[in-house]
Amino acid sequence: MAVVVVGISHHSSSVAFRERFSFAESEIDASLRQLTEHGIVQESVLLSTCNRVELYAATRLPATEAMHALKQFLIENRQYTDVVKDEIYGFTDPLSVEHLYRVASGLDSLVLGETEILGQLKKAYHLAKETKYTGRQLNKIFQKAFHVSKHIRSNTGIQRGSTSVGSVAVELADKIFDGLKGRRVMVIGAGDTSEKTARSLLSRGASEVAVTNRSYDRALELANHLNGRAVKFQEWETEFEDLDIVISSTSAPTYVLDRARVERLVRPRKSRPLLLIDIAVPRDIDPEINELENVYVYNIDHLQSIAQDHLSQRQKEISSCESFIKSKATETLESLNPYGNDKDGESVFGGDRSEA
Amino acid sequence: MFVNWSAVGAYLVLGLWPKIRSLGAFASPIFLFLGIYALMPGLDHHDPEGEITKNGFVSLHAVLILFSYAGFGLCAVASCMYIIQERNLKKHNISAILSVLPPIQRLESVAGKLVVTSLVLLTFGLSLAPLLVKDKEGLVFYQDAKILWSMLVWTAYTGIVLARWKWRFGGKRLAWCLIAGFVFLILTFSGTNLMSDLHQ
Repeated sequence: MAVVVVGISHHSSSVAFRERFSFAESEIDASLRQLTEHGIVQESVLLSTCNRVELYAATRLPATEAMHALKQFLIENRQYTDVVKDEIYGFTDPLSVEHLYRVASGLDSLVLGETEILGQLKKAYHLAKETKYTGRQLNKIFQKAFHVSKHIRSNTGIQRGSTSVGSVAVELADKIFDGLKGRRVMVIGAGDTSEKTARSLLSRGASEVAVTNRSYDRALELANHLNGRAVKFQEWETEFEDLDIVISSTSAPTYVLDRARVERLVRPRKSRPLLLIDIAVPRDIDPEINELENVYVYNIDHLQSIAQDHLSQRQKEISSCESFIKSKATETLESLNPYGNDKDGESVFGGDRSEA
Repeated sequence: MFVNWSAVGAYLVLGLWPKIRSLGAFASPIFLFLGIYALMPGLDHHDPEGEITKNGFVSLHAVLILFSYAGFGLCAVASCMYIIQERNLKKHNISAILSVLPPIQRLESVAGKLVVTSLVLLTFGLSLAPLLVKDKEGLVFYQDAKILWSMLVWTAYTGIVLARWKWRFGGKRLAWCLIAGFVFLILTFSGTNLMSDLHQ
């Protein structure tokens, strides 16, 4: 049986296109049943996430024919009537298996090396397995994909470092404080990024978040989202002595925290460290504050350059991951078909994405 | 050599705590330096009569004090790590984020606890001294270089501990004080021994 994959992802299509092709969990069973009943596939797994919709299948049909049928199935099932150009891609084995291993390892993800996709892939596989849409071929290939992913994540730097502003902030806090448990956070200005950053810190154990904003109602709203408390903008200074981390993202045209003010505010704190994260443009925090003892100021450029550096380090790992994936895919296919599988695999439509 | 072995022993105990195991990477060069330093001829006095080991108080006095020096050494190591990590964080150096160094707050806490423990050992060790010299006729303590030096070391470390307790003295200044304290201790230790008749 040939192992094929047909799908769309953030590489090949816009979010609007992906929205049209996404499957709710409750629709997956019926879709897989339909595919099997029509005799297109013998085994199948359907993965639907915000960044990709992919159908993995083992089929007795000639691979190219099966892939065209799967593409047609997706279009008809989602009732898509517009013209489809290169948005849908498809691979035969061994490229299809290599693609699966790449997806499981986070090499095909929007954020290189992210881990969420592995959980989503496992869920899609278990859903298909429970409803008996998988068999010997896909069971073996998916199990191997999880092993390959584990190996790559543990033995290469593909997952090293944080690549988002929120997680870099957490990493920084981890280098300053002896654990985030019990740390007190204040958010000045109720923006989206500050909310995400505060959420990252809370998820790692920060005990309390206080939100202050010129509009008290907005502060109250964000505080409710974060299970924190709102502080009136005129009163935030009174909280300063007990804070560990301050995230500032107001739209103020001048510094909200200038050196003289912070110098006065940190005096009663003695030698307790303070992390100030400035994600506002124009900046809210005077960079000179970084010269004060035990105070560490990071602005959006610092955070982004750290994230970018982590990403570059991850990218350096790609080639070693790719060669490992290729060898494992060949090994898996050989074990499934010991009497010869000397196909090179092909990209049937959607352009050559074999190196994607 | 005993200081070195004590420091290695103390590190092995601290190493049970995985979060500060990286202390070893910084402590190793100091262990090496102390090991080489101990090979210098003339540092140890020959004691054929076994005078030192015969008297239990003398041994206890020496052991406690040498243990405390080892502790001060590890304080200095933790402080060096603090200075490096703090500098990286201030300079927004990427290696700060990728480094395996523990967080600065933990390093400060480790150094703070070690200095208190070491000071307690030093205090017990020094408090045995009057028992050991009571039979020495005509000894004037302020004329013995080693006794004066020991009192200076004790006062300096007591000052650091008191400042930390009373005014939450910490951060970079604490780290530099602990490094300076140990550098002074290690550079003057042998010289004051040579200048002291009592410790010859």
